[in-house]
Amino acid sequence: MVRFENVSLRYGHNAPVLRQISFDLRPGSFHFLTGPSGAGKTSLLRLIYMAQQPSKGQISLFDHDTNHLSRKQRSNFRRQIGVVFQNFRLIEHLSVLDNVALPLRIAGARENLIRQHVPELLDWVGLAGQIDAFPASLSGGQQQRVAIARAVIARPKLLLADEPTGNVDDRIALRLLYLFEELNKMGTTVLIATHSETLVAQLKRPRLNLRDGSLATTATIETAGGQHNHPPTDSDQGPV
Amino acid sequence: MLGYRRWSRSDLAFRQDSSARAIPIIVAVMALLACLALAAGLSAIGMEKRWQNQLVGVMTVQIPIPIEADPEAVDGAEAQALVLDLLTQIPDVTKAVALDRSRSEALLTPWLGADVVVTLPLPRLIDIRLADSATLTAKALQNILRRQIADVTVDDHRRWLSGVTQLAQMLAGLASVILGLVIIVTASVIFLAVRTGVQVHHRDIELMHIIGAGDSFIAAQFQRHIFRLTLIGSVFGALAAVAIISGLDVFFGPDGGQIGLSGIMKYLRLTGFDWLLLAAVPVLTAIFAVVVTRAAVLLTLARLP
Repeated sequence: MVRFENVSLRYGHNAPVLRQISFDLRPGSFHFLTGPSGAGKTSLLRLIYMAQQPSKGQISLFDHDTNHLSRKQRSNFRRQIGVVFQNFRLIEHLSVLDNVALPLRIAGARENLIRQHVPELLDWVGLAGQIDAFPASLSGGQQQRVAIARAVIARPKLLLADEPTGNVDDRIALRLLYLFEELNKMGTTVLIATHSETLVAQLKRPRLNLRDGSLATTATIETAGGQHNHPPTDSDQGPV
Repeated sequence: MLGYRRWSRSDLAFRQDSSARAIPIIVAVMALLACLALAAGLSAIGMEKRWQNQLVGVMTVQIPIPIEADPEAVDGAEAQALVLDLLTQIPDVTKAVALDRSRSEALLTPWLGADVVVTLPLPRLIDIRLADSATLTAKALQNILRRQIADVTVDDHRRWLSGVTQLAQMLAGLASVILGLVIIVTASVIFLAVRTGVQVHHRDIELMHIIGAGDSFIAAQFQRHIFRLTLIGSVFGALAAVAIISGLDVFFGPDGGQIGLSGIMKYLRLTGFDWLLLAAVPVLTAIFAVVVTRAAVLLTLARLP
């Protein structure tokens, strides 16, 4: 699904943000991306959703080298990726419904389907009453849920979330994690960037641990479908 | 209803974007100029065509009378009859009508006075009309007639048209230049406004790209927005042009003619087809703007990572 081979990233002439990163996310896997602030988690996610090109190394997405994708192919691939941004990146002038509906509209979904599915999902994330509200009138937690709903509405093959529960209370955080798990059960590969050890401990999933731009060897618990634990393997976590 | 709502909605905040706010006004002015230029060009071409139609195939044969001869004794009637006879034998000539001396005198009397005219050795005239498919030139006809009557001359009325044709072509050329300039200015204004718009909305556009929007999706948003603005502007511009043209028609036209130009202005009129072309200007402008917008968005986005 996602393969990094000796990937490095530096901005201009500054020190590298990421160094010699290699890993392989198998389809249907669920990983945490952990590390302290500034470790390079957001940069790594940006590389996966192709907002950034690596300075060195090769990134494969859906078995295609991202360096050799045309603009059209890149758009097609991105449609299969759901992204939850750390700062939400909601479109301020669009209502909650229109923000969440955006991936469906981009994919060319019919308006009647949008009117049916978007309210259902908003109800699920506890925002049924905010469907016509604008982001500026929502709390941080509500905005985060809108961002998550937008990321998952089109049932992506790959879900990338950057600190997705940072602004919500524990009850909502757990509910959102269940949402990610449900998506994972349906086949979506999930990668959640977080510095919350509590979150990692709750789900007991393998982690990619970044420290100073390098991927540290990790030893976490892998769960197949979130049901049982087993020792980590090289193929689903840690550097290859 | 749902289709219109979907067509008219936008995911980009164009209402808060001032980059394209002047487009309706600029396009209105450009559409006004385009319509006036088009109307001038079309009416000039139409005038030339109508005059061509009236004068093509019309010639006049002149049979001169020697000055020293007694005009009463040799009035050329015999020569005129001979030429008429010859003309009837030429297949390209469909009609030949002899003008008697009284007609010629009547034409000259306002200029020279009746007393003078009766003393003049006026040439005998024959008006002829050629078949539409005729290839006979005035020179060729003159050569045929001179085999029988020396000094006979044939005038092709089209030679009077050369000035009018030149004027019409000049007007049409000028109109084309103005139209060309209008097109260039409109395209430039739209191109720059759209390019600025892409920069203004670059954060939302970047987000849409990450979500999976292709360049065409982004371009379509701008196209719908610019289409609306240019259609509104060009409709107002075209309506203003129609008002001006109608005003000119009243002022200079056959019924008005306050400043003595009614003679020529009656020929500078628009046909139904010309009015249809003018009515198409707003739609054509909007479609042209959409094409320019798409090109501007795609070119600008192609430079982005």
